Amino acid sequence: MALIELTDLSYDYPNTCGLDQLNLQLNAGEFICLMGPNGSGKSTLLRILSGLEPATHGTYAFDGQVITTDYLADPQDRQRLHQQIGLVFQNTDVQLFNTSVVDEVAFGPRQLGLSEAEITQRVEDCLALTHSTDLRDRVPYQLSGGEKKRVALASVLALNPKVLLLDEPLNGLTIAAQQQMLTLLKTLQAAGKTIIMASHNFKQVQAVEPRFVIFNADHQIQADLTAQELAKQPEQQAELLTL
Amino acid sequence: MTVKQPNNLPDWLQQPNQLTSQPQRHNFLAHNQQHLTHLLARLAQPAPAVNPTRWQLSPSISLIRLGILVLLIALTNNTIWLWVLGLLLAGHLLVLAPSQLRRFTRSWLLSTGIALVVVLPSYWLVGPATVLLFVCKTGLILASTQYYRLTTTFQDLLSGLKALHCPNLFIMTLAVAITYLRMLGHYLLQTMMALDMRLVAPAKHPYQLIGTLFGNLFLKSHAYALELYAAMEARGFNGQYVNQPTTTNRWHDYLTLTPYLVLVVVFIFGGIYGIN
Repeated sequence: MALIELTDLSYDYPNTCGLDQLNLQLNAGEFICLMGPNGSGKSTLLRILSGLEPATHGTYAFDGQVITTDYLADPQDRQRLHQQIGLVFQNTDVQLFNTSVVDEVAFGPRQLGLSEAEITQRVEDCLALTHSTDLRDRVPYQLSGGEKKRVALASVLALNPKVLLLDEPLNGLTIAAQQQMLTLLKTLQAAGKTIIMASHNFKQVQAVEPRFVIFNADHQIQADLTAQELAKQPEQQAELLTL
Repeated sequence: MTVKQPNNLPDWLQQPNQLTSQPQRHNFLAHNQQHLTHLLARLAQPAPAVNPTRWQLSPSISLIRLGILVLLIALTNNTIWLWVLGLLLAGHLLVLAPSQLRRFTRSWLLSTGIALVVVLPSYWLVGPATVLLFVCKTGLILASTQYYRLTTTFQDLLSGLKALHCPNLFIMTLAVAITYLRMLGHYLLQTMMALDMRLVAPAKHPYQLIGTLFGNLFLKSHAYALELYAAMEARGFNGQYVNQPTTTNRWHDYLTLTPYLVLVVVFIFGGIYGIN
């Protein structure tokens, strides 16, 4: 059974369409890269998958559980879902609200009621994994764009989610930092995590051989290809390089 | 404590999480958080304005129409006049789609109800007649403004003000203030979503959290305001706001203004003969 199953899923904004009739099955342990032009619905899909918004039409099932508006309205169900799915926002500024990086990363584990020793262990591990140990005592508000991205990822990782959703995680990072992040994501996938990321950076992402789900400007899925299948389609590759 | 090297995943990250489900301790807060989220979503992305007529009414005429209507309602103390103005307004409302009409009714009833609560003590001080007149007048003024809000975009409001030769600095301040408010609403909404994603159990110190959120919002809004002004200066802004040329009105724009002008004339001459 697929971990995430979308059936005829659509989402409408007050005056525009966000997503149109998506049918998609995502399995546990996969590395999925959502690609497509600006405004094609990648971020909207991530918000629906994370349970922040219910779909307007169609169904979204996570681990066999259909995520409905009623399900999301129940705080306990919502929290159970958020324990399993982590989201790194495109604008990481909105995600960091604590007074120090250490508190930021410790925020999630503290809510889980872990012991102080466990929390400290998780914080140090996550900071090390994201190459942010030197930022531990800094104020998140004063970090640079790339540093904020790394701290935001660390703060989500500290919750040990089953699925990691990332909205344009490579934006604002140097080439070296992009490679470090992709390597970390690939390692997490190898450890059984499901990685779903939206990105425009085809060249960088290609290296980790993800499954490509490509959106078109009509908010529909244009193609769903493995890295090997995509390698045989030079036209599609050329199109992705222009994004 | 051993710190793992990057890419050597620690054990806890390789094992599945034990899902916990703790009872909600702050239902009131959770409930209000949802209300606030809905409110912010509406602020950040307001419902689109609808055009109930076949042609696009000129923004300046639309604004003049609102001004005349509000002025007439405010100046008259005659119930027959209020009734006539109410009929005129009802005529406009009739062309709205049912869904728009429902939206209008909901927000109009709410705002009139609030006005009634504010003025209620005067019932015991000056009697029911004054309260009734005040509620009628306030209700009509609120209905006119709600109708205007429902059928006019923010850009049209600014165009209307420009066409009526409002001070440029006032228009620019209004434009920046509204855009800024929406941006802040959007920012707070996103922050609350991010918080929601990481609040995987009932918050231990919810009030401290709210304080932190608003403190952050203040810091970021201050930084944003400075950046905004720097960006304006970098694009040549020197305190003088130069606006674009205004659009000209067409014959049907003036036609829609006719009933209002007739009412103004009747009101003025009616004043002479003492019927308002």
